[in-house]
Amino acid sequence: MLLCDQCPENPGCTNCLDGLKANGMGKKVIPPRPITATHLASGAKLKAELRAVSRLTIGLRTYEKWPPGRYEVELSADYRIIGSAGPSLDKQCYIVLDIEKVLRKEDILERLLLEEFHSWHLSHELEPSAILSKLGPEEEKQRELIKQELQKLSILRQLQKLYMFVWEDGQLKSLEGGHSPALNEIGEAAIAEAVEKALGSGQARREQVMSTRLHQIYDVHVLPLNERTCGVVILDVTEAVAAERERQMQEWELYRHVLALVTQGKLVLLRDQQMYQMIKKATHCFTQRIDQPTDLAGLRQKLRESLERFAFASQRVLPFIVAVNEAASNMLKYGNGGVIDLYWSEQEQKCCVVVLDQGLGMVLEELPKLTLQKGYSTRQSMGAGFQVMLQYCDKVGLNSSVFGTRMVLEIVRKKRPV
Amino acid sequence: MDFQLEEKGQLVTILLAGELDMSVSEQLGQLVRTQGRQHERIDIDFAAVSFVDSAGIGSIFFAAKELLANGKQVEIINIQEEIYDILQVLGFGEALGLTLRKAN
Repeated sequence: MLLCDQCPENPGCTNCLDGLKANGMGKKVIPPRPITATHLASGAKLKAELRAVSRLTIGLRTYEKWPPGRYEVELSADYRIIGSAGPSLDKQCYIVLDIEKVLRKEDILERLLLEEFHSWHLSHELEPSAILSKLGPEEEKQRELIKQELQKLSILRQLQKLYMFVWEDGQLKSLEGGHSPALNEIGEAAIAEAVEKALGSGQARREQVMSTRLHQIYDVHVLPLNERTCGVVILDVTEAVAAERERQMQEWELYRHVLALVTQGKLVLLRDQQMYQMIKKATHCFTQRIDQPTDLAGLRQKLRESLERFAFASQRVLPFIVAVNEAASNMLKYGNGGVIDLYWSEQEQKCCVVVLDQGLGMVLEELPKLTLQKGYSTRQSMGAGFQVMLQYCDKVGLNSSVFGTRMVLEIVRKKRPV
Repeated sequence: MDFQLEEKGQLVTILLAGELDMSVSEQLGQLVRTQGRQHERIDIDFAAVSFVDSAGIGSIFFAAKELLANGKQVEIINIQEEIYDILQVLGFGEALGLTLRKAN
């Protein structure tokens, strides 16, 4: 009997089912499942693919000659089928075993329960190569590579939610069988896009994709193997990302405490909300853009005029101007300039200068050195800018992220002795 | 920033005036280096300096460091009280091993 060998692309073909002689009660195994069958009399192990099953028979696509006799087909350690085959003819590629026993976890049946088999088939992962279409011998290496890559990742699977697929000729095939829940969350279009980029560049890609409902985060890894085939792995990293965020918050709190302690409360790391609180009841006085070093003189002039208007003690004016000037110079040294705003709080009798740049931000781990260690600078300067700010301001608030650095420099007008 | 030079044999006095900030740092460093190559002793007079920042003073710092390493004599003189205080916070004299001389 000739098989079409096109499962599952040829749903109209019933050759494998007809061979079962199950009067239309058989079912195709899609995708075909590679198995090993042991010839019980000789102990010989033979490779085959399970193509069709019925309650009393199973159909196996074979690639070698099978001796007649009893066989044990191992689906998994606790799921085996014992059946017998009649003499095979030369060039016969399809063997039908008459089921004698089905050995399951706890009992032995004389029939195959099709529903049970079907759910087992869906829940037991296939080897990646099983669902790749036939490749030429020169592509065997690539098949082996995809198998190895995905097998490595299967270890990860025990640690977190991981979904594995093979992309071939525009189609995503799950290694788990059935439809993966991760696919519903992400949408196949997002994966197709990542695959397209990976295939275009020939390089492995990693992308982070939010679920369509924005409550899950997935890492999508695409490993191109040839011009049309990729291994695709989707990891649900929602919990890992949340845990990392929590860890970063704790680390940030620790730095905040330590920096405040060693500066006697002068240097304060601020969250966005706290930064807003610092200036929300204050009156805005002026804005100065700093794009080049020559803008600094204008800033100093405006600042001097404001501080004198608010009647700050004359000996405090120049030092505070120097401090603000340092913050402004830093914007030019480490970023591409930025904006400076001055606020006056009548209620708290203080001036707040908000310095906002769009530079690279400061790395949290670098903050103690940058802010406290004299002479530490990533550019050629005295590396003492922060010392000046801490020395001459009453408080320095710092909010730094990858989006840039924001600082609030505060000077409080002291009450004159009566 | 403005400056004047007063030469007496191997001594040159650079009389600086105005604000020494980032916008003049390169020019300032160059000035000190050039004079240092031509003289054995360089006095930098701060009497008319009204403002300094770490970038401006940094350029004098690196130029002076080179000159000192080459055996030249460098002094910073006539510093106004407020400016002296800023230089102290920046650690200027300390880092160079120089005594900063205030204005009388």
